[in-house]
Amino acid sequence: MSGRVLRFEGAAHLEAERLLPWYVNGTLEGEELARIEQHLTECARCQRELTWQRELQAACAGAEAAADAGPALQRLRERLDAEPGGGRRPLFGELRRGWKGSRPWLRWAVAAQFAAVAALAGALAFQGRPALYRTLGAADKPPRAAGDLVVVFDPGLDEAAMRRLLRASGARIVDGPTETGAYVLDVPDGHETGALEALRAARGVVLVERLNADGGK
Amino acid sequence: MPRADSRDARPDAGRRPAPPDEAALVARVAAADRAAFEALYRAYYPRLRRFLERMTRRLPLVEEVLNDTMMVVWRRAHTYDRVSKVSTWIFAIAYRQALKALSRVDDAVPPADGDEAVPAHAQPESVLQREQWRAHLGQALGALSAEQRAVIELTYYNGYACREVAEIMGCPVDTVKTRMFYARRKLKTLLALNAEDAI
Ligand SMILES: [Zn+2]
Repeated sequence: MSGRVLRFEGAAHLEAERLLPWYVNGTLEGEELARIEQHLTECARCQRELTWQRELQAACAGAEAAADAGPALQRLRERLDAEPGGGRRPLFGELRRGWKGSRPWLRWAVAAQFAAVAALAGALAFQGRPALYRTLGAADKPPRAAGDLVVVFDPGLDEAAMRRLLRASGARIVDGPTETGAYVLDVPDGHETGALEALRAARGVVLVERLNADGGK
Repeated sequence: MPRADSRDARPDAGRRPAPPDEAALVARVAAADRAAFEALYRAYYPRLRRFLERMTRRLPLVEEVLNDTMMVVWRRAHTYDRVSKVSTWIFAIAYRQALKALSRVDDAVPPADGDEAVPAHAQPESVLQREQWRAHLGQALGALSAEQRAVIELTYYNGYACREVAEIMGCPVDTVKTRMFYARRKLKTLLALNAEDAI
């Protein structure tokens, strides 16, 4: 009986010894916290350890560097400006790899439609093209350029079905897939709205948006 | 060396409520919004600088690693998943970048502080002793590995939960606990040795 109690207390001590730093920083919760608090009432070693660790924490509490971010930021700006594409990977190389070899579809495309489109648009904007598109619903109206729509297909859609969809909407792929699995489509002038609606209505299309934010063409 | 000035001390820095728009800021960075990126940079500069100073203890490396970190943030913002805090995501990048930089310049022996030996005590009792103890602690921290210093800094200064430290260091929670355990043991040994040397 007493052996069992001792073993149990030994385990409690070992656990407390390893968890004390997070008791000190106040992030322990629930049962862990309750067990440590209980153990601290009955273990002199852990009480001494707690005092020592509070000293350590206090010694670590010095100020954050008050240094001005400006000069370092300026050097980073220069690096960003110097890199082709503003430091982002270009999209065109990926297209050549074809459908089958394309990057895996981004799993959260559905949940993060905004981010997907925004990332694509951002990447495009940094290829030296005009800023086609900044954010969905952006107030400014970027100039029209190659590429009208951005589309994310359902990962289960096969290539033949994809081609049928594109033919039916009169669209052709001019860029993509991006890392987020999006393609840029070009649609003959005057057919943008029709193509947009057709693709939106089609099964196998997760997301389709205009690249130029003004919406009316 | 810990600074005496505690005006800006934020022992619970990791738990300060994240500004609600930090995730939105990262989304804008994903859209190549340079203004959002610069806002994020300025918000994280002091925190990252301190963390990298303490972890690497090589001041000439700090700015380079910090900017490498933010360069990754710029390029990979679209991979931020919103499951983790923005701060743990950025700190995880900084931690990896620091390890990479250290492995490039690894000279095995960390630069010594060169302080004169003064008596150290297992536990400081007076103000003077506390100052001495802290000086020794600074030296002792220099003898730890960068990983051990990171776990100490992220826990005691940034105030991250064990699970978050594991996320940042990309290792299991048990590894964090073990790393912390050995870091503390080594610190105590070094502080005790220091105390003996002074006799
Ligand atoms: Zn105990």
